[in-house]
Amino acid sequence: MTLKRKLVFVILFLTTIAAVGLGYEVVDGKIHIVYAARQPVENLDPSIHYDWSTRNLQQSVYDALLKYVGDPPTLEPWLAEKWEGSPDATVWTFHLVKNARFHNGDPVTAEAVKFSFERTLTLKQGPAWMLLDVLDPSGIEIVDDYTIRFHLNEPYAPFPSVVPWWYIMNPNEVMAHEVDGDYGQGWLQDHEAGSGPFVIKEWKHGEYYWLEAWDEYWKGWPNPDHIGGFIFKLVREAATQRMMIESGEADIVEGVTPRDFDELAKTPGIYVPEYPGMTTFGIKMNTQKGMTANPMIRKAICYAFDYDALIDIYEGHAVLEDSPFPMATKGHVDLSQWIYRQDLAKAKEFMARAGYPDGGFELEYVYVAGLEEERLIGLALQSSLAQIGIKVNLVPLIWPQMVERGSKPETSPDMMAVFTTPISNDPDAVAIQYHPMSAGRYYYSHWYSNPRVTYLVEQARSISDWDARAKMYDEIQRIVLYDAPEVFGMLYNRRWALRDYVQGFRFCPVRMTSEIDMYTLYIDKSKLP
Amino acid sequence: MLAYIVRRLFFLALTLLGLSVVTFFISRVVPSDPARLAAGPYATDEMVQKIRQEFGLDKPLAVQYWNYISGIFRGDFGRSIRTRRPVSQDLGRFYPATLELVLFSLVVFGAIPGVTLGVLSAYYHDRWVDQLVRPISIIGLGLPGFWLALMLQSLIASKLGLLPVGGRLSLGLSSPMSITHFFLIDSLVTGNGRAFLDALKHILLPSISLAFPAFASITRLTRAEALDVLNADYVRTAWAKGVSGRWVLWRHILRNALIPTTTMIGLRFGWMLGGTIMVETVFNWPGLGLYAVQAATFSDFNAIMGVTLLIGLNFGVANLIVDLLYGVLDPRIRYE
Repeated sequence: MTLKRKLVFVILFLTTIAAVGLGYEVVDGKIHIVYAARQPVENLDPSIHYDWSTRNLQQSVYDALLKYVGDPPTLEPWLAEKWEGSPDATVWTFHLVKNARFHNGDPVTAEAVKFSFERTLTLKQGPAWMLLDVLDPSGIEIVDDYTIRFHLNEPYAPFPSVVPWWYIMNPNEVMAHEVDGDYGQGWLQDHEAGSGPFVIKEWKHGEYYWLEAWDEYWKGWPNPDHIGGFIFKLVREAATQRMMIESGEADIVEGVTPRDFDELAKTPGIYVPEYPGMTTFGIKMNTQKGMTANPMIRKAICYAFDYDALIDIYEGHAVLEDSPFPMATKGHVDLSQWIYRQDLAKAKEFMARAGYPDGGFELEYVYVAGLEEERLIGLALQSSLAQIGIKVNLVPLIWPQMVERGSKPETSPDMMAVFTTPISNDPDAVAIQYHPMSAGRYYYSHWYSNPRVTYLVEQARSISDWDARAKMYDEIQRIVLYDAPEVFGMLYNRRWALRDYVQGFRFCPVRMTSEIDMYTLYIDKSKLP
Repeated sequence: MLAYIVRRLFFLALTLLGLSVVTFFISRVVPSDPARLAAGPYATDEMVQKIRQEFGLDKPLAVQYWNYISGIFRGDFGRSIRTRRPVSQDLGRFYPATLELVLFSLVVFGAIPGVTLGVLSAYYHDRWVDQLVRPISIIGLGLPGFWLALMLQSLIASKLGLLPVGGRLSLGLSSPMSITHFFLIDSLVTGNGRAFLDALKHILLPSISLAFPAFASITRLTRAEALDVLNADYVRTAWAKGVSGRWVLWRHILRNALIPTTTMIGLRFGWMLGGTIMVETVFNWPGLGLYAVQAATFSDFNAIMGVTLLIGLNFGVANLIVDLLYGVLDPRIRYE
């Protein structure tokens, strides 16, 4: 073969294997979009696990009694058409819709609700922690086929606010797949027994999870051109995600760098929705041990920190906290007037009051190894505190080690970078972070304890009268701010990039980081390439 | 020779046992609690303890190790605390993808072009072939792998659209019937031409990125060895006898230059198997590298052990094969 012939052969070969297709798939005339995301879904079982990627799929195949919708978030009736609580917040009754069906056609009844709550409480994993202290399986009463009543062990006003996290499973299907008394755990890892708008089409661990729309969804579809399904495709590299949406191999991406999002927002055919979420960033300070046990030192640090650096690190796509509670939290109070902002004179004043006018000591700042934003924040903290004579040592650790260190006051770092996402917009979800019952959890690495706050948190969750609760949460926010157990940081904006033919995106801050409600998405056919 | 192989396999088993001890205890002295991590950020102590019991993490270290090792002899590598699946199932899913990538890239883009160009470069010493090959191999040694991967992906996949950005097979295309779990071979064997072309499209860029450093080092080593052989007496004798240039090149020069190169290829195989993480991340290749990193960041003990032992086994087997190949390449070598 001559050289020229060889070249022609190579070119022909490359042309043959080329022609890379679009991202979405057309199945039976319906468009299945591709969501390129970085986090896998290891276990779909709603009693066992949840994180943003898992919830993205769980809420697609399962329904709960109630659902968070909109911004600001509201609790919408879903499998339950209405609900009521007793004045002392110990008895909660939910009335179910009568037309809801599981994917196999079985009706969604009070028995299924009882089974699902019992299963999660018994397995003690996943969302179990939300109700483990207040609800026993014996406290769940079937009033009739479509009415379920929960008798709590103690008053718990936020009860309806956590119900959206408890998905309802079909007991017949789950128990039909039980092996060696595992409550169907093995099967539910990558199968579903729900009544949600989507069903599983294909499940390939480590590659993609493909769900298709269930046309007979009992609640109907908000748009006749709804997506035919979606492929939740794992793409671990942010640069690859960007290339995929640019080249059309993906229809939605999350988690790319702030700069990439800015670039994508300018790209024709792509739009980037942006909303402040509920995930707060704070630098938790150990209030029990070391120099930061002194409230004067903590206040000095809060006044010395350069808060603008937080916004710069996120290139403007973040807002500073104006209270210990995120803005979307019910009962949030705007404390801008009192919140800490950089004021070196005040910082030095507090250092002097603490007995260290010139500083002269070292503190460690522990952050997640490999998380660039936290490292940059650490550098900003380092240069800020250098101005009041405190040397900051940056200590990167892998997350399990951070959690372990924060679980005891003796080992908890002086300062620890922590992102926290409340699971509901009820203020209890945030207030509990400042109550000793959170001991051992990563967000309690400050080991903060104030008897008044402890009392208020307990009181506020035990009455259902909102006005009375609101006053207590107002006071909690003010006390916590005053005590400064952490540097109250910022809320970064949540962003996604979508191809413009994918419409119907509805933001809700209570969802987890990159979670999207796929149910409302539809295809604008006029924009299809 | 059989006795030699049996003896080597025995020592390999001992090595793996030692590896298991070291990995087991090192992974457990790191201060982290995988049970707490698996239970979730808000889990109560009771929930954490339940998971700890379920995975046997509440037992003394020696008991945990004994349970693990005795399980291996029953084919049980334990369950991953992260994925909740048996580790053997996870390894069975991800290992073939990595092995296919490594073998394809090592053979097609590493060894074959590396050895060929190395020999040609020596044979045409200081002529244009040599002048071309030398800088390419030097670049290959110095080029950061992730940069090459991103550049190839950006240019060929994203800008030109000639090849896919990532993955192992296009969405909507069913995997070929599993025989070897290598998509290229399985699709060929089952006559699934569409899957073969698609799998080939997907493997090209990651394998080029993965193979480039190996290609460069193999080329340089082969060239250096071939240059030595070129000046050997037996080659001069062959020339003097009037043997054709092609015969001398492939029969004498290549065969003798291949002995150290084979060692290099064997070592490269092990390194590539343990170092695919970068390429797998960039090209979204569903392989062992990503699984290993996730296991390490999650302190997923059983998964860490499984991956370590599997890679150790591959290293050992590759070295054994290399040693056996010496005998094929050099008849003077005897195994005792």
